[in-house]
Amino acid sequence: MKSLLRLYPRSWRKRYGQEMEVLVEAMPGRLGIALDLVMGAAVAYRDVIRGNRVLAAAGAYLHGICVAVLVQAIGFVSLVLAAQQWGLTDLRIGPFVLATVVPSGPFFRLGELSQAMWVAVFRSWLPEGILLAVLLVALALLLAAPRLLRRLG
Amino acid sequence: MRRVAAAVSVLLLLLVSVAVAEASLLALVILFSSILELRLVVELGGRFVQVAPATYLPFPDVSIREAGTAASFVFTLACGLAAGARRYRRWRPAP
Repeated sequence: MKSLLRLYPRSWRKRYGQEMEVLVEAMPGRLGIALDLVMGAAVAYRDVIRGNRVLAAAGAYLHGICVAVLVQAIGFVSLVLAAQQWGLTDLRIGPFVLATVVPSGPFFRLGELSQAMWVAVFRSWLPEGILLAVLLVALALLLAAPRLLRRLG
Repeated sequence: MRRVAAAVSVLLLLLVSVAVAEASLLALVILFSSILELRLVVELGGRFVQVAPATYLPFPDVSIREAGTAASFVFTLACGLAAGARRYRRWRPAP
């Protein structure tokens, strides 16, 4: 349990380390207390980062990069879905072709489908739909992460 | 001299973080292409990386062109810099 105190920032350990060691030694070695210590370390780091302008900007930079990666992953899955639905072949910005998609089979316009084909098309879109849903939830969690971190401690 | 060293360190950190992010994105895209059963081609610098299933079946082809790969790098870096700059400007010391 005492080894978990090494997770805390150096400035925090200089200030409170000795008192905390005495306290942790008196506590039973339960999982809940270990989790409390880990969460406390996260809160301590959050306070150190928020208290420094450059560190806060660096943290925001890394957060922005993670959001960008997720957004592009969502874009990739959406591109595949759009190609299946509308037979989209090229994704362009002006003269630049960013991506090309060649669907394997005939694409269907939703208005032309019979009921039986609806079920078949829905099933074929299921993997993309599930992936997209998972990615959107991950993006929502990532965007909410700074606010959730502020509420800790 | 210290400022130059600090600037070079920041630049290296930016490049390394973007490289790691792009590598993660490539891994994600390869994973998705195997889940969605796609044939994936990623072009970069006149060469390409192709990921395809072992058996030849009519899978959909997805090609990320060189412009798309470059745009991905630029977009990732731009998002990170925008978020960092915004936090730097809006930062206030804790009361």
